[in-house]
Parts: sequence; structure tokens; C-alpha cells
Amino acid sequence: MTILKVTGLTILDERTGDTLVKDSSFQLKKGTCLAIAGESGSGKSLTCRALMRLNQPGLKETGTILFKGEDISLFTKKEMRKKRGREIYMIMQNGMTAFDPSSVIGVHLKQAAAEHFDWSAEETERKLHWALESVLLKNPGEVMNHYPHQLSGGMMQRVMIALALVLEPDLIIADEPTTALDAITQYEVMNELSRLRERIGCSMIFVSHDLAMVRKIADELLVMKEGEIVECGTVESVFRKPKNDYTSYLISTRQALSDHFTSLMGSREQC
Amino acid sequence: MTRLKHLRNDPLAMISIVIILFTIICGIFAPYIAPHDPEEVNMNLRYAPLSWEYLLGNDHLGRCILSRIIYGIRPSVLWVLAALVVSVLIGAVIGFTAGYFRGKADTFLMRICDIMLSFPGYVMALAIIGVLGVGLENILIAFITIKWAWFARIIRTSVRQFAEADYVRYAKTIGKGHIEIMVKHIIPVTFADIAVISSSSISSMILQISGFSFLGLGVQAPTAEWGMMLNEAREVMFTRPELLLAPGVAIILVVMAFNFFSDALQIALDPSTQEKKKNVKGNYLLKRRLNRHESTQA
Amino acid sequence: MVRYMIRRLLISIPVLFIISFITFVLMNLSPMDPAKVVLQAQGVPVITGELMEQTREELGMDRPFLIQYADWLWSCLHLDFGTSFVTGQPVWALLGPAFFNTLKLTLVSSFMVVLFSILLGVICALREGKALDQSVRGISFFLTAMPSYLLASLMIWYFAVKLDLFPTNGTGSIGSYILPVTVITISYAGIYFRVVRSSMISNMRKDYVMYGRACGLKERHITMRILRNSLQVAISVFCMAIPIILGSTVVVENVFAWPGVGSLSVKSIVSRDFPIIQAYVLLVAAAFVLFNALSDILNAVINPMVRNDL
Repeated sequence: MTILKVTGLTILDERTGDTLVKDSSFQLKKGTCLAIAGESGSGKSLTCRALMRLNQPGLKETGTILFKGEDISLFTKKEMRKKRGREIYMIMQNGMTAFDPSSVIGVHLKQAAAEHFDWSAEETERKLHWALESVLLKNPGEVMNHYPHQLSGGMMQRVMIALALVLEPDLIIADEPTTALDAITQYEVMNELSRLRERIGCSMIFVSHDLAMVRKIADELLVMKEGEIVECGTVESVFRKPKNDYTSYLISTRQALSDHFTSLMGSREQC
Repeated sequence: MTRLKHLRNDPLAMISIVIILFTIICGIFAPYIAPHDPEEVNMNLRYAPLSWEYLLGNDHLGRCILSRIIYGIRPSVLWVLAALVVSVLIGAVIGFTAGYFRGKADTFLMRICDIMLSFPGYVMALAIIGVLGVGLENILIAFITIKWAWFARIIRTSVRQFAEADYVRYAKTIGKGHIEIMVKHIIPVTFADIAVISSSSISSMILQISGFSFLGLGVQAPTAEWGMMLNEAREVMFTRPELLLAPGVAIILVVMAFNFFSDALQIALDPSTQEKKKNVKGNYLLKRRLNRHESTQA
Repeated sequence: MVRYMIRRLLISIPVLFIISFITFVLMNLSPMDPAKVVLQAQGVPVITGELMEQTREELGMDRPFLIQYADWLWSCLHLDFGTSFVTGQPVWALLGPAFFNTLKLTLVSSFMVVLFSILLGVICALREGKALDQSVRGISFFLTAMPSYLLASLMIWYFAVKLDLFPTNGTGSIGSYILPVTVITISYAGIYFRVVRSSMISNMRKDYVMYGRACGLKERHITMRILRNSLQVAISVFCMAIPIILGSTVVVENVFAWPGVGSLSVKSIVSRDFPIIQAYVLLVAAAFVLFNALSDILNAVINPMVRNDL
């Protein structure tokens, strides 16, 4: 069953008239993970935001996006807001800046939970504690009382994953969730993401420019370059036989790094 | 300098530059341009309306208003520019020393700047005028005294940023002299910052200095100055409000021209606004705005 | 937090000392001999050297410099700023009521400035690029290019004389506040609302807004966050606005004949009445430093990140 179907998505900058994303079409089956790879500025993030109708008003989007068979552009603002978080959830690149810097993290988590569920204060608290604990954050009560700048990037990423555990969305968009982290934390966060998928059985769009990561988590891969999709297929087939020159260039340049990383992750996984 | 070409595509900026240049040239060549002697009293022509001989009419002493406006450019704009240049120069020397050599010199100089900046500028200016007595030159001295510290701080920040750059370190390693490094590698890159901050201070300085003259603390009669002309006009404003018009329009026009010019200059010279011209300019703009408050209106 | 407050206030003390010292030195740098000023003001026809010596002694100017300073500072702390050279009255008797008048004008104006800056700044930011935003910015651009004394004069001419709505001078009634406060509000709110606006706009593009939306939070909640974060920047600016307005009401006070320190200081400068100028500078500079400290403390209360500094 297809959870998301994008046809002919084009994003235009109305001010400058530039085409930022050009006629891109893809689909996502329920429970699978689609990776979008490409260098910065290739339109990955814009595509993701378009899926949640979160792009700035100055950007003009055409094409259709069907989420669970419904055209998202036909939802009212309120309907869309109800879907965000509960049905489509986004994990941001930099957890440190994703939370309001002048209030403690708990405030955001509780607000988000209150938005989608009619839980009592105690129940919300209990669920959040459970979620934070299950992403290996000790002392969840204390974590919730911290300001974003008092925690590390890896911890913030886990907090975002924990919120996904609570909200149980059907589709998670992870926009370069590990780019801002160091190698070991990257590995840990990737593990949490995999476990998250197993637990709530969601579909995922995983954006990254790191092909090693992509190989680890994704089923299908989509490569973007200058706003266009240049490659599309299952991860294994793309890696084995890239159709596009750009993809093979990406794969070859990342090869040395990837090999090392895959071996590292592979060996750790067996423990 | 290629960045300055952006200015050409901005019609408002071009108009501003034309107004500014025109004003400056009129001020410099005032004796050749002004149709009459600005101080020539002619009681027969008191409050005379516009005429071909006196294009903007005559004031309460029958003096030619147009000539007074043209001569008034000198104290109201040219001397202000001169004071600005001097304070920027002092600020630049101190800012360069502090930012480039760092260490004790930096700490010491910045402490002095902090102390200078802990005085409200306007009150400090009044204090200095109080000590030295009224007069345009004293106001200019007062302004140089209160402004340099501010420029020094900004220039130091800018220099520091570049003094840490790798190519400067490299130049040091291969044994280039300090002076050579400064002249070749630091002055050219900090020039943009200096141009932006000085241009953004001009308008507030023009307003403030004319304000002092308006209060009778600056230029003394009968010398022509815009602020003082407005003060003279105010005394008869219930019967002849039109006298406020000429000097008022002159000040507003020049101040607006400088404002537009400095905004355009900033957009043209700021690398972060090169690509996304309309986007937020972040901290830098904010700092600049803060400056405008610090140097409040007169 | 309390520790931060105490430390921040302690830092102001040396600054106050330095300010008082500079003020004192400045007045002693004057090319005019104070003794001569006093004698001239008292209308003494022939000023002899002997008379000058005597006056100097009376003023305590024959003592070592630092002792003079310490003495002066000590009396200043008791609000004894000496006597006016010109009228012979104690300075505080002249300056005190004037300072109170200026303070009233300043506080009312500051309140209006803050109110209008936030109001206009928030509205313009939420309507960024729309007609309302453009026109407000255009008008403010014009009004801030206008010298405030011209604005004040025009207002007197129009509202007080042509329409005869408000009194042109004095502090008598509430009506007499309207024109001066309006002039100050226009001059400052025209600048400060841009700070609020640009701060709002830069916050609107931050990640936390995107993430908040992605979590399905209500726009109302998100706007509150943007407001809270952008006002943090604005609050420190606003705290500084109070002393800045205090220090620059001079022009407005003179145009509206407001009996405040501004009018008094201009009069004293013209008549070279040093003790009054000295006391005026000291008072306003001290207010400036204290408000500065206050703004830092307020900022630390709202913004947890600042607290760790210092």
C-alpha cells in the first residue's frame, strides 16, 4: 500500500523566478524507508518541507502530493496542523536549534502531546518519561527541565526521536538527522532511528548526503541534483549499478569512508 | 569594488548619491553659486515672497534664503562630514592597534572605550560644550570625543576577525612586517565595514548638530546654518510658518539621502546579503540599528 | 540568579566612580577660571587679583586636586552639588524639581515608545512585505529623517495654534504631556519598531518555528514563542531607551518650554554655570549606568543563556 505519492512536484522561487525543485515524482510504500541523497542545495529539504506544507510563502509549489490517498493541498490549515506531528512528523537536522531556546524542553514536548491527545497531565508526563527513557536518556524528569543549550546535540536528537515514539506518526521525515553530530553519536542516533521504525512501524523519508547511512537504514534511494531526481531505485540496485554518472561519482567518492563506516557499524551490530 | 556596481541597479541609491554630491559641491563652491551675500540685511525686503531675484524669498531681516541655505551646507553638512572623518580616523587607528596586536594593548584600549561609551553621548556633548563654551567648533570637538570610541569598538571587532584569518597568519609566518600586513591584507577587507558604519552615522550626526545650533549652542548669528535658520523661523512661525519650509526640507532631504545611501551601501558591501538580498541581515544590522539609537536624534 | 544580579550591580560601582571623576576633571579643564565666572556673575565691576584669590579660597580651589575631588564626591552623595555660580542658590534646589519634571516626561514617553514599537514591530513583521508593512516603514523613514525640533514646531503650530487643542508649554495638565510625548514617541518608536520587526522576522525563520509547526503546535503558541524570543533582544534595547531619552529630552523641553533639566542645562551652558552642568552630567550619567545594569539583569531573567556569562 502506498502511503505517499508525489507527482510532478515543482517548487519555484517567486521573487527570483528560479526553479528550485523540478518535476519530481516518487512514492513511498507503507512501512518502508526512502532515502533522499544529494549535495546541499539540491532541493532535498525543500521537497521534505513541501510534504508537510511548511515552505515559506514566497515559494510556489505545483504538482500533487497524495498522503494516504488524499491531496494535502486540499486540507484546511487546521486539518493540516492536526496531521503534522500526529501523522507526519519531522526530525530536524540540528536539535540544538529546533527547540525554543528560552523555555525548557518539557514545555515543547507537553504542548505537542496536548495538541494531539486528550491525556491527563500525569499520563502525559508518564508517557514522555517512558519515551525519553527508551531512547536511553537517563533522568527524563531532569532532561525535560533543561534548556536546549544545556544539552548536547546527540541528546537533542534523541529527544526528537522520543517525541516520535509518543506521537506515533505514520510517516517520519528525518532531514539529515545526523549531520551535525560526531561519528560515535551518529552511530547511536542511527540505531535509535532504526529501533524507532521497528517499534511504531512507520514509514520514513531519510534525507542524507552520507551514502553509508543510507545503506544502513533505507530500502529505496532517490538521488537529487540541482532540483532534479537523477536516480531512483532500491538501495542495493543503485549501489550495484548506478544508472547516472553523478550517482556513481557520489558512490565512488564516498567509498573509502563508507567502507570504514560500514565495517565499524557492522561489527558493532553483531555484539 | 565590483560590489559597488550593485548600487547602480538601485534607483533610490543613485538618486541619493546625486543629492549628496550636489549638496557637497554646492557647499564647497557656495560663494560662486549663491546669488547673494547670505548675511546682507535688507529691511525693505523683510518676508518678501518668492521672486526671480530671490528664488526662495527673504527672511525676517530681508536676507536671501536661498543663499543662506547654500552657505548653510558648510556648517550643517560639510563640517559634520569632517568631524565624522576625524572620529573615524581616530577610531580606526585605535581599533587597528587593539584588534591587530591584541593582548594588553587591546584590553587597555577597550577599557577606555567602555568608559567613554558608558556616558550617554548627548549628555557628554552638552558637558563638553559647557566646558569649552558655545560655538560650532566646540560642538564638533564634542562629537569627535564621544564618537571615536564607538568607531574604535566596531573597527576592532572587524579587524580581529580578519587578523585571525589564515592568510594573515601565513603572512606573519613568512616574516612580513606588521605595517605591510595591515596595509596589504587588513585595510582593504575592513574598508567595507568602516564605510558602512561611518555612512550610517552621518544622518544622526547631522540631525544632532543642527539640533545644538537650534538650541543656540552651536553656530552663532549671523552665520547661516540650517538648525539656526529653523530656530529663527520658529520665532515667527505663528505669522510666517512658510519660513520653516526651506531649511526643513533641506535637512529632511539630505538626511533621507544619507539614510538611503547607507542602507544601499550596506546591502552592496555585505557579503551575506549578496545572494539573498532581501533576507534578514542578522546581528550586524541589529547592531547598526542599535547604533542609531545610541546616537539619538536631536 | 541573585549572584548574577549582585555581580552586575557591583560592576557598575567602579564605572560610577570613573564617571564622577571624569565629570569633575572636565569641569576643571575649562579655559575659564571659575572664580572669574563667579565674580562676573555677582556683578563685581573690577576684578582684582586679590579678589580672585579670595574667591578661589571660598570655593576651596586652593586645596590639592584629589582632596577637592573627594570632598566634592562626598557632598554629591548627599545631594549637595554646591551652589549655582549665577543665582547663588543651592544646585539641588534648582536641579531637583527639574529632574523630577524630566523624569515624568521621560517615563511617560518611554512607556509610549515601548508600546508603539512593539505594536508596530509585531504587526509589520506578521505582515512582512505587505502594504501595511511597506507604508509604516516608509512613513517612519520620513519621520525619523525629520529633526525632532522641526516636528515639535510643526505640531505646536498645527495642534496648539491652528486647532487650539493643547497647551503649548508647561507641565500643568495631562493635555500638556500630549505634544511632547508624541514628538518623542514618533522620533524613537520610528527607530525602535524596526528592531522589534527585524528581530521578529529573523526569529520567524528559525528552526524552532519550523519544528514547532512540524509537531502540529497551534500558530498561537508559535507566535508567542517568536514574540518571547524576539522581545528578549528588544528588551535590552528598551531598557537603554529610558536613559537615552532622559539624556536627549533637551530639544523637546526647549521647544515646549518644559521646566526640566534639559532647559536648565542649556541655560546653564550659556551662562557658564558650572556646578549645575556638573550635577546634570553626573545625574544623567549615573542614571544611564544604572539603567544599563538593570537592562542586563532583566535580560538575564528572560534569557537563560546570558546568565552563565560574567
